[in-house]
Amino acid sequence: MAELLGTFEQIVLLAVIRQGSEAYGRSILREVEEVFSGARSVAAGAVYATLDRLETKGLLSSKLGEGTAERGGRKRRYYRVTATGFRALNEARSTLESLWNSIRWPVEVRP
Amino acid sequence: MIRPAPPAFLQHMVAALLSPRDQETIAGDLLEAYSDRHRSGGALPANLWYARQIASFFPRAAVAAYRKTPALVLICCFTAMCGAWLGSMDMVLHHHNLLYHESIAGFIVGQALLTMLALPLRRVRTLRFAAMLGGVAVTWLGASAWYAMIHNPHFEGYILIIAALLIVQAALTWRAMLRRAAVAAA
Repeated sequence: MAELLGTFEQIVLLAVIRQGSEAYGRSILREVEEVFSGARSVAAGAVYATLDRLETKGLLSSKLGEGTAERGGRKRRYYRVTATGFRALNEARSTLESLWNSIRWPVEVRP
Repeated sequence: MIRPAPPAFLQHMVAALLSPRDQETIAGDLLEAYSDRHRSGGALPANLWYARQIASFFPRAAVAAYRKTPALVLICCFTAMCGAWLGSMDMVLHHHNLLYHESIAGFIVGQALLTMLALPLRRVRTLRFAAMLGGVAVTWLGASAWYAMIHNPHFEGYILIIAALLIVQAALTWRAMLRRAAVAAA
């Protein structure tokens, strides 16, 4: 079995899927910030480090796009989830679901 | 229309912390987000947000830079601890010329920290030069400590060890900074 994805990795991968063809650094960061909706601040460095790690693992691929005036003409890097990435996400979800299904929710402390 | 932009030195810091692959794309993403925040909240919150994001890139850049120069990082950590220890001992033992001794201890700690800061911020020329200049000063400090100890009837071996390490630290600092200068020039 491949290494199970961490929670933050899953959030970033899901943000990329939700953004579709418009998934680039800034839009992914905004999506992740919305997930936490002010409960905690999300550092850009953490998101980019995760994107980089996922790309190294082969779960994401990226390509450069055109820049805009708002970015001072700087190019965008667009991300998309690879087939391996989808498999890893499905595996992470099914593993967690099978564990949760055997436990009554909400979890309580036993005396 | 003039587009809002973060202070130039902050943009310079971003460029210094990012790898060549990410420099254009991430700097552009941050600029885009900065513009949104500037429009909605004004300059100060946008600048603070931008500075916070820069700080979040530092650990990764530091780890990458430190992996390339493990010996220098280890020696810097050691000399920083030695400097702090010498400073504390001088205070506890109330040596004469306390201010002079404290300044030397502070300088040893400061030079070690400056070098460790300059390693990841490799493209900031001012920091690079400051670390190299500090390297010259610690070489002089180490050499003069050796000279004084050899001619002193009261031998203290730990001074010789710290002095030798300061000289090695300076040599490694120069090597690392000159390499970075060559990479930056390329």
